[in-house]
Amino acid sequence: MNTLWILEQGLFIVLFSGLLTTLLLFIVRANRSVKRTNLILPPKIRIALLVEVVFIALCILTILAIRP
Amino acid sequence: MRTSNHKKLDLLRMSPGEFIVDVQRKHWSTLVFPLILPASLLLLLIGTTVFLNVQNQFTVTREMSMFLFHTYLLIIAASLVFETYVYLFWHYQFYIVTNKRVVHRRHFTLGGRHMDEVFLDSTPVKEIVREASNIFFDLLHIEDVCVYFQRLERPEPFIFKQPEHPRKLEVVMEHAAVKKFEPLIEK
Repeated sequence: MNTLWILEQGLFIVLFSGLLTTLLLFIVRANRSVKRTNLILPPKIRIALLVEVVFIALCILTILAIRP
Repeated sequence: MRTSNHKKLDLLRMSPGEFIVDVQRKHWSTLVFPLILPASLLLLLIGTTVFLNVQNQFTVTREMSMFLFHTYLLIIAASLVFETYVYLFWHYQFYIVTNKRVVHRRHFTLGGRHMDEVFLDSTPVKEIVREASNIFFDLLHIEDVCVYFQRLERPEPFIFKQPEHPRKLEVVMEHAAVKKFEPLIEK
């Protein structure tokens, strides 16, 4: 495993982790908005948010799993 | 939930005798336009790689293909996260017209709150302008409604940027100008 590959893997893991953290932050803030307005998110959107979290987590796992 | 069912929502703290005349979100097209850039970027990247590979101008090694695959995934993930933000921003943003005031309120913010309101009793409406910001929006009937006031303290207009139903909002504001909301409530 060469240095370039490790650097690339590290960079992508940091970027995907950042995206996952941002998404979780949005979900937390949306929860606060729900409490403030009584306006819940539609079920389809809640499922889509869950799928997004799983997708990004799978992306991180894919990067960790693949070896050159 | 549609904005027509606004009575169940807790959008504003009302004063005695105040009632909501109209509630609107922004037009749904504001959800679609932010996706155009990342989608075209992804298509351009995939298209260029495939084209160069077919033309034998660019030999994709295993490491390179992994890098490209991860880049595609990153663009898709970033687009999804950005679209989530755009959706939540749209879903919790309202233009509210009551018999006493006009309010623009964002309930989904990352830092702080946003609330712009104009009280109609102390700030009479002078002029209402409904216009599209460009020819493309004009074709799609996506228009802004600008409301000007007869008050030196508020020289800038209250702008309803790309509301769902600009014509309806214009009619509501015309009623607000003469302070007669009864015909709208009966409907």
